[in-house]
Amino acid sequence: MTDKKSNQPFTPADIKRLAKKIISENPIFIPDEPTTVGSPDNLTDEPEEPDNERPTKKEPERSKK
Amino acid sequence: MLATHIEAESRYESFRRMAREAIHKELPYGDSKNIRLSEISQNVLIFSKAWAADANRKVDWPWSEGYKSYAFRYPNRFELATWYGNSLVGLSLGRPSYAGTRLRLEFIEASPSHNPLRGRIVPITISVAELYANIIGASELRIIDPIDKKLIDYYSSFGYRYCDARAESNHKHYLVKVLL
Repeated sequence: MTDKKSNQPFTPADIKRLAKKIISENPIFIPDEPTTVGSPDNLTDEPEEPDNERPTKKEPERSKK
Repeated sequence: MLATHIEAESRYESFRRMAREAIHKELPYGDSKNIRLSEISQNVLIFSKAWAADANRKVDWPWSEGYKSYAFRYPNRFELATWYGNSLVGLSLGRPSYAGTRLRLEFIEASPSHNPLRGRIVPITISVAELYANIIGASELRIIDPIDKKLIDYYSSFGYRYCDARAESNHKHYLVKVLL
């Protein structure tokens, strides 16, 4: 894998800020949480070829009126 | 084991530890002091064997054997063991894609019975995975085969987008979030 970004290490302050943001933007509890998500079968999938690695496009934000 | 492999394992474990520790510090629960997030060590694998005998278990996959080959193959993997007190209550694995542009969260398993963290295993795991993905420079997190419709609906309301099986070359459906 390319280490383009990971060669520019986050500072502890960056990590703390990101952790706060992630916790604030994600659920903290899921009612009826399943005991499994995904499957052990996924662990043996062949790695994706680089050509298939088109990043998912972010949904365009609607313009505010 | 080659020195480069050992170096990679050590380097990525330091990234995983950063993610675990930072998320743990921000957990918003009143009982966070009882929650511990760790790597998947030999001790964890011994504890995981108790799950195999549990009649409520949904899968038949031996963590102790399966983990070792996965870990050897992917030193840059995501892994997490979640504890409540002295009880192992969650395990998960994932890996970056070939070029590292995305992190695939491939399997999360919670303790099949008596889980005091029920309802919080998936949120904690996904939060640590998101931070790890950021640290290694991935631009998106994919939760492969989310299976449960309630889970899909729930995460879809928190910035994830559901993509059906036709969207990925190996025909897996997934939830995806584009990271900053």
